[in-house]
Amino acid sequence: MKNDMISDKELSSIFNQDAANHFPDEAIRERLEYAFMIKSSRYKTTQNSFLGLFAWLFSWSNLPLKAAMVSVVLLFSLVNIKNVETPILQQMQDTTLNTMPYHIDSSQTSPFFADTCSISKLIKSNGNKETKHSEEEISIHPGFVTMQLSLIADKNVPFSAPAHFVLSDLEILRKQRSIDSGNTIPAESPLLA
Amino acid sequence: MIFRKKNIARLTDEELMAAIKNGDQSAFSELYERFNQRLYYYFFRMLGNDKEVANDFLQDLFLKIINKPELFKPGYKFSSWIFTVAHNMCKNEYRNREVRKIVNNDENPDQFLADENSFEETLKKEHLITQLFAEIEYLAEDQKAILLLKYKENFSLKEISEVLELPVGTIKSRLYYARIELTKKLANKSLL
Repeated sequence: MKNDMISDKELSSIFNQDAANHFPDEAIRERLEYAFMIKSSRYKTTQNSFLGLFAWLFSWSNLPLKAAMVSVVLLFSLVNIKNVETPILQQMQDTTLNTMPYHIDSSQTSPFFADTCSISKLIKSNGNKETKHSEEEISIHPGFVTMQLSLIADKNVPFSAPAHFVLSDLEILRKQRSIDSGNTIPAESPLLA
Repeated sequence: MIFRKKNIARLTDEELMAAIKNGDQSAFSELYERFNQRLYYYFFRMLGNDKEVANDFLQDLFLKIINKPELFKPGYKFSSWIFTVAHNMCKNEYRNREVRKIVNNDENPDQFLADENSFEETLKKEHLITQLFAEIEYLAEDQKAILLLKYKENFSLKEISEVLELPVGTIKSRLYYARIELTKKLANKSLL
């Protein structure tokens, strides 16, 4: 130790040596942990038990293990390729050609908030059904696609549009000039014959 | 949970505080483990070498963390913050009682007892330590805090200035004069 002034090193040594002899009461730890337990029970948010997993998953640690897991998943996905020999028949639905989309009038979404349209001359084309308020569903079969109408067909009576319909039907209808701007299907439509 | 328990020791003090805010008891235990002895010693030496008082203050400080963890603002260094709180508690205590007048200068003789087989040199060193801390008690509150933070906690001057809310230049000068004063007093007792 220097005579003029106590050195930094000497002071650090003295403080650390002194501190090594002083420890708090162990009972404090227990009291504090109990207090924390009481307090944490009132927390609205609790710790996310998946936090650790996700933290590990997206960290850089254990990269070889993660790479191995991904490799196994990839391996299974490659091995499980099935060669399906039977061709899948899928109906063409070329909406790119349909420049005039079938217009569903949403302004009259009643009843049941259904889109509506009308077929003004449908009944004529089907003969005597004009006065017959049949409750049967009327089906139109344009080619191999069915467009099913669910309400009674009557002149200018709105019916609910089908929940789904195939655009190719509409394409055919459009080509045949079967749909006019009023969303009606005229009687002379060959599709209704 | 297994990942969390495994990693709790790797978390920084600031991350532990964030976990404590979410009610993570293991984070609190880890934080207490890291700081209890350091803070206890700080209180012990700052508040007249009284074990009971130091224990009380240590408990009060951690109760503050439990009850108001939001007091710690993310972005701050936790060790600086916790010692700032500890120092403010000491200042309040100094105000409440004129501690320098009622300080008991009589050191507990047991606290520096060496092992049975200690050498004479060790005894001399311990006597020096006893006298040094007896003299430290006469230093000003800030000087005492500076010595503790500098030589026990190894805080930088900048960190000490943050804890004590004083300019770095002031810290430097007070540290210098504290060392001069200690040296003089120990020299007068023929310990240097």
